[in-house]
Amino acid sequence: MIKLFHVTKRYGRDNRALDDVSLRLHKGEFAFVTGHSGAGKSTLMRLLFAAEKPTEGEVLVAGHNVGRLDRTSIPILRRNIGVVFQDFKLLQQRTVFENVAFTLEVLGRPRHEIRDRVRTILRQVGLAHKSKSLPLRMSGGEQQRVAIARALVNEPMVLLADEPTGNLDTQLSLEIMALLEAANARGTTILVATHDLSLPETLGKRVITLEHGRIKSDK
Amino acid sequence: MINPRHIRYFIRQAINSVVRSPLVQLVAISTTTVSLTVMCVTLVLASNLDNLADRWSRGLGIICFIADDVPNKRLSDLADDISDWAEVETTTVYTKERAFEDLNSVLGDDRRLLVGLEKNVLPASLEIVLAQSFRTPTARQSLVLRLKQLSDIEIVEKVDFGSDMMSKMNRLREYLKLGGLAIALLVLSAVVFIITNTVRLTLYARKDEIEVMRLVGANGRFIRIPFYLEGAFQGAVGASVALLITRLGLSALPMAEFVSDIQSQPPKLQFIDSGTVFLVVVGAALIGILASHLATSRFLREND
Repeated sequence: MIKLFHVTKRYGRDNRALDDVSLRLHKGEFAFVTGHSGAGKSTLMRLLFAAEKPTEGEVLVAGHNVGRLDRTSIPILRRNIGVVFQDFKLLQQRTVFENVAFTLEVLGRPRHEIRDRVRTILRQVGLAHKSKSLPLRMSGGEQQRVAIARALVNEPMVLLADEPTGNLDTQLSLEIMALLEAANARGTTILVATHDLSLPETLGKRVITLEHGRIKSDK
Repeated sequence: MINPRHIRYFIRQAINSVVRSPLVQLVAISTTTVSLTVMCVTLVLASNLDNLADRWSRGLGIICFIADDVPNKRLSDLADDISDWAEVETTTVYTKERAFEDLNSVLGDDRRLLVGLEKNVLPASLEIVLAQSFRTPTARQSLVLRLKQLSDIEIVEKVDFGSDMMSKMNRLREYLKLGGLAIALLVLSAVVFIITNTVRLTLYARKDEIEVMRLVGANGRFIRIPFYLEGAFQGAVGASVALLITRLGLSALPMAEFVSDIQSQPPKLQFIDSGTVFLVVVGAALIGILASHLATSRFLREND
């Protein structure tokens, strides 16, 4: 589902955010990317949802070669990927329902389908009762659950989460992980970038450790 | 192709954008209105000058005086023949009797001056109005030559200073057209500038939303269309208000009444016709779309 072949990403002449990284994630796999700040985790994630292009090497996601995508093809890739961020990136003037429905509106789904799917996913993340709330009036954990619901409502093939628990305490982090595991159980390939090593240890998942832009370990 | 399910979304987004930032909209629309008012005034001036020139050039027809022995039947046949010529718009027959009646009515209280006349000395005549595209001194001259080849008629051109006036008027029309074009270009540039900047303000205010749109797979068109609608709205409303101001200004103009008081057939200042009004509004909306396109293209490129 995700393949990287000798991928290097340079900013400027000397700054190598990623250096000759190769890895492979199979369909339905759940893995973590860890490392200290500046190790290259976020760069890797940005390459995977085509916010960046590799300087060298090949990045394949859900059958798309990211390096060769033109501007008009990037949205097609992103419709198959859900992305979750540490800062949630929710639309503050929109309700929880509207935030989650937004993904399906972009895809031009019928209104009844949008309504049904949003209700279902909000139930799955335990926020059915907050569908009319505005994100700013919700806790960090709840906002992250909204972001996850938005990322999953389209049943993407891949879910990328960049430090999804960075602003949350341990209990909330585990709740978020439980949601991701549930999505993984439904068939979504999941890659989580985190600096918190306790999470992969607790869940017993594959861990890819980056250091100075290179893969230090993969187990 | 646009997904029909998106149309409702686009309209809703455009309305929300307008409603959420009324002050920005007000500034954009009022500055657009000021610019477009300049253009509308120029259009009205150009249109009125055109009308005036048309009226004058219609008056610069040709009068053919007919020999006394030509019967009225032959006169009306001649008129029918001449009316069929491409360079002729209308031909009016003035028989000797009609000419006398006209003179009588023009003289009014002084018609006693005609009492001593033993017979009607006024000649019959044909008044020829040139077709629109032949109202030039050269075309007029060649029509005169053609008429001179006909028997039975003696041709006299109506007032000569008119040709000179017509040339001057045509020159003025040309200058006004050029000036109008320059003004229109300036105004349109100003409108593009104003709307581009307004839309950019809106784009920056909705930067987060656009980022989310892109993350969930919205393509450029999906992001742009609500902004196109917003630009079209600003252009169309600006143009409508500008037209209204011009219309009201025209009717409130003291000159219009003054002119209408002193002339028997006044060259009353006219507002532009409904077709041009429609074109101005639609054109301004299209300019708004163009401006929005420029703004969104630049924004999406900068924030790629």
